[in-house]
Amino acid sequence: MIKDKHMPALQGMFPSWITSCSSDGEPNTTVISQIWYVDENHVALSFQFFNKTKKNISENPYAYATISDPSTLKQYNLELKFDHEETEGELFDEMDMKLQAIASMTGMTGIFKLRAADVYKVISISE
Amino acid sequence: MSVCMDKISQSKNELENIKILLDRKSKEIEIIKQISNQINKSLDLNLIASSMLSLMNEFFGFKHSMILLVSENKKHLNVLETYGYEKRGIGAKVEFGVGVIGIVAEKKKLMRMANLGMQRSYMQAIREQVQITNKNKLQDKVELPGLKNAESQVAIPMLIDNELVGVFSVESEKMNIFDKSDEILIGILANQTASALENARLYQLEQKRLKELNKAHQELESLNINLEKKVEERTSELKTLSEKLSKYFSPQVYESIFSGKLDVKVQTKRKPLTVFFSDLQGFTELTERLEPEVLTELLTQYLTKMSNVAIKWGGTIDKFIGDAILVFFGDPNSRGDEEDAIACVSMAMDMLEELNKLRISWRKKGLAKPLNARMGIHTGVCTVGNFGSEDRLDYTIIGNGVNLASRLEARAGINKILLSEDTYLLIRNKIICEKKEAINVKGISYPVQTYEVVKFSQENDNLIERNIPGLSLSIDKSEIEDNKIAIKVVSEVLKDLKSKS
Amino acid sequence: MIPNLTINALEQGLGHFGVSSKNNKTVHVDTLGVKIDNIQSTLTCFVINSECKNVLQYLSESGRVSFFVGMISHEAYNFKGQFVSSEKLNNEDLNISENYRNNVIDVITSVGLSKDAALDKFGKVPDLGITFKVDKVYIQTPGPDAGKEITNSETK
Repeated sequence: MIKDKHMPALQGMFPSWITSCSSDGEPNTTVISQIWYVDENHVALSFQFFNKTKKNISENPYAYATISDPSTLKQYNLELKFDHEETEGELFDEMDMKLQAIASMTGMTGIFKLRAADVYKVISISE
Repeated sequence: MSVCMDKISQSKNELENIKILLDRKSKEIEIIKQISNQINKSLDLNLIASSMLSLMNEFFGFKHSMILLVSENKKHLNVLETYGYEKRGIGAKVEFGVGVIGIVAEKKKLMRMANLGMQRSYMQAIREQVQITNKNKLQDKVELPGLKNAESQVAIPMLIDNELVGVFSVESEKMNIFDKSDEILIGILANQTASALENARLYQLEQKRLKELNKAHQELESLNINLEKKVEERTSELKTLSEKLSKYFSPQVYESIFSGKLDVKVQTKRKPLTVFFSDLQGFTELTERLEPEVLTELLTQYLTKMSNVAIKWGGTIDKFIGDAILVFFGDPNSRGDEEDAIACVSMAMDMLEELNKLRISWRKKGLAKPLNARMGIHTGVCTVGNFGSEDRLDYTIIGNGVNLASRLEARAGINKILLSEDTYLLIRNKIICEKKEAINVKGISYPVQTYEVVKFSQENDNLIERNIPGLSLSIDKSEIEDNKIAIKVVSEVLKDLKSKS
Repeated sequence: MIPNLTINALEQGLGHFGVSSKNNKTVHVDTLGVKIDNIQSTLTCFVINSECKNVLQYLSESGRVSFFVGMISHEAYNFKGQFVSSEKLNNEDLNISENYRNNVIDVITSVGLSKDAALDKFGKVPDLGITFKVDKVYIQTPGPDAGKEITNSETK
């Protein structure tokens, strides 16, 4: 589902935005710094601390996200369904690396912890 | 028909795409080749690094980049070369695990950071929050080499066999740097550079080691030379010292000490020795009459001559006491009691002859009064060895035997040798003696029978020696060329003497 | 209702308009300008109809809105509320949108994004206005107050 052309939009070079929904139907639209490529059919979000999106997902696994190619500003919309959490492995390490790099530059080593890599199944991707 | 056209168009597109891909691949290979060539030309670390960085700008438009190398202790990185920065920042340090470069070094994985501005502000905002609640958990912000306001950064580990050699970092104030498809190519180039840098580093290390080796070699050589010189100097010093010392020892004692046969400590033994005593009659008066220099010269001549004789016969010179001489035979070396005794008496006789010659030469020099010797010899058990304290030793003999020899000397006639019976019994087969009176010696319960030396059993009849107060007669018939003249001389003297009485 | 402190962001930030369906499915669309009514109780978001996919559909089902605006400086707010109506845009609206879009293009090119890309995205003229009543406003700026609701006492 995810193709080569989508890859530049999954580098974290331009923010993404995601809309989730609580069990009682209230939508929540917010901006996140990066949606990570996992494989053809999966993407991931980093989970650092509890927020509205995480809460919503725990009640309702469906979400809608938009990623942008930083050089063309072309957008791709993804329908997502939360699949599982990962607390170790390559994906987690990659996310963690990035987090640590920034944290260390702002003197925040050890404060910012990556709790998990939240993996979502890509139901559809459209332009 | 239109389906056909579509298909053709599609194929055409595909061909186009393949062509573009091929072109791209060719270009990539070309880039690899060029950069490879350039960086492998040199063994200079800095040159390799700066070539690589400027080529990266040429091919990829990387305006700000740097290469860092892992430190010797493998705990941090140091900036080797930079490109496109105002301050070159060479040598700046980055700890493993800090910042993009530090994390890449730690994890040995490529990392791409974009939107740094947003992420920094985000972190900064969080930091402010933490400041309120948990200040002590915060660390100081780190000053890292690079652009202050980089928006994007890519750091690539430079590996050889999965060992980290360094990190290649590219920054930009713009948000986008390069394609993911370029990632592989740049990874290849980074590792190529790693190889070239490692080669250069090893080469430098090799050169350094070689230099150190040469230096060490030279130092060793000069050390050797110095050592040799020192040894030479020391040896010569020792030689001089030992030569000086030897003058204070009897040669046999000296020899014994140096050969190690004689231990330098308080140690004595009792053994039979033949002891010789002599002194000069009338010497004391001379000391009052002569100038010190003349006296010293006289004494030196005498003692030197007598020493030589003693050494010649193998005697151990114990000491000089002014004009008195003490010599003993039988220690440290012995040829047997009999031989030692014979040697001692022979030495004494030889000494008398030498003294006679000296007398003649002194008279010529103006010494009116002739010097005469008295000698005493005894053979008996004495205690011999190193006497004294731990720090000051004297190799000498003590005992009744020594006393007796000295008493004999006192009782001897002018220019005569007086022997004890013990000595006489040992030498009587070789040397003719005249029996004299027995004397009483303190410390010896019985009276000691004495004998006076006359001559060797087969004496040389060529020599005539007569000495009385006022008369010193010495004739060596073997030296007389014309006997008639000799007779004439003696006759004239006789005539003169007769006229006086 | 709409706090004064959010006005700057509304006028200059990037906006994302999100809605939910009766089955709790979600969708969103980007806005190209915003109009604040004169009593500051509703917002009209300018969008392109063809990009709206299921937005209007979902609005008709539940009518619940989450409208996020964020500045390049990361100052951001979330406006939650109830759908009111959708209508064509008048000249005033188009003017607001044009000014907004020109400003955004300037801002994002200043941070290094391509001018062409910016024009591509923000050069399009919106053709639809979606109005919703604002019930609650939350601070979304990363920091100590993130997630906090801006209450009545702070609206002025």
